[in-house]
Amino acid sequence: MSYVENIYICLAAPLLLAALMLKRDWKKALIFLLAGMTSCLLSAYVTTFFAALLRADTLTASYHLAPTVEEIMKFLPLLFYLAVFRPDRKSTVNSAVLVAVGFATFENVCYLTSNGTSELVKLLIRGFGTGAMHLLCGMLVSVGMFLLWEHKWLRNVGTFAVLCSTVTLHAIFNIMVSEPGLSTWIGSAVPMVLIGCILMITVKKDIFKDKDLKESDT
Amino acid sequence: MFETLENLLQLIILNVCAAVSLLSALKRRKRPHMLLFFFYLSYLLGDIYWQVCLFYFEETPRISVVSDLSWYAAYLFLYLLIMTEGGDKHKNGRLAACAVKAFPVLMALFYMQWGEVLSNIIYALIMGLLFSRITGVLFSKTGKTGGRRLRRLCLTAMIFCLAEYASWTSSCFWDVDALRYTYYAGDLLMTLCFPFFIAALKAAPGEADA
Repeated sequence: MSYVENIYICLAAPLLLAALMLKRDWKKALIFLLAGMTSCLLSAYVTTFFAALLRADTLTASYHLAPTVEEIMKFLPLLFYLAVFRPDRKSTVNSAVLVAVGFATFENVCYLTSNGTSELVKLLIRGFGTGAMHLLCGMLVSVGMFLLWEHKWLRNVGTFAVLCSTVTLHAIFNIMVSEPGLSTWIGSAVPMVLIGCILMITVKKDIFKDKDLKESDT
Repeated sequence: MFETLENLLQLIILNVCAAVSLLSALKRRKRPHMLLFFFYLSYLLGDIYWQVCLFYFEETPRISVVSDLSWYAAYLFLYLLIMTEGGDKHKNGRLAACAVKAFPVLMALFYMQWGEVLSNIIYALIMGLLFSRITGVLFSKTGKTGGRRLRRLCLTAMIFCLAEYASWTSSCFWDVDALRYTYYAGDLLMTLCFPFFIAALKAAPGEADA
């Protein structure tokens, strides 16, 4: 049995100290990483609670409940940031990605402590696959928010809708990687390929440049 | 067998539509095209999740909330698309507005005999919003008639939503053969509606594609 709280303290302590010492933008980045890790820790508790409440077995919780809880928990720090600080678009995009990275890092560390560090290939697939999936979900949320930023109603409804889509994407990934063999390879490769495509598109088309999208053709 | 083929066809059409709308969105850098892409993506993810569950567990998901979330998202993106295109400028009369909102609520009450309560309430809310915008554009007598593009979009959305209702209703009577075919017909009609959203978003003659 691994004590995730202890792992969390060990990982968070240096980041927290560094965040206290660093200047504004760097501090913000570290705080978002920490927020991602904290979300991951809290998601474990919340998923366990709902699994007990719905009397779901481990697999059902992993396939159906965990993605929903994790994506919502991952979004909460971002929601707080948006509601309290009202940041610009670029900051929102970066913060969503950083929270996702923090979440994926903590999840991978917990996986390492539970399953050992002996199988390099398996860990490579796990590390890149999970990392890519969380990053992809973070990117999807941030791209959605970037596009739907203009009006309040558009932002609110659109953000909820984007969040719903990321839950499903996460759930598909969880099911695919839970089966050993080719399924794990495909499940892990798909988010990596999609991230590659998104990077190519963003570099080529520069969709994040601070220029408003046109409202309509008409 | 027929169901598998139908699902496969829907997945292929959705994939193609998502790819086309993404390319179009990147080329034109316009919000409606992006929203259309997100609509396709969300619906596609819901479908893929359902099929993945069928493939790995040989049964439909035990807790269907995940795929439902994706389909809620798809309908919300469709709603946002209509609003962005100018659907917010059209309103129904008071009586028509009540009738349009009552339909999804009554249907949700009917479906609750078989399905989950919360999921049906959420669908009723989303469909209520969507129907009120669609009928506002198609049947309003405010004098502010929508552009041809908006009307085409709303007409496609109307057919799509009614086909969805036909599928849902007939799936409640799965044991009756005739109604099972109505389910397939409704689902097929929805599948065929997908490309028409892209066609509807193309600027009509006289409506400048800025």
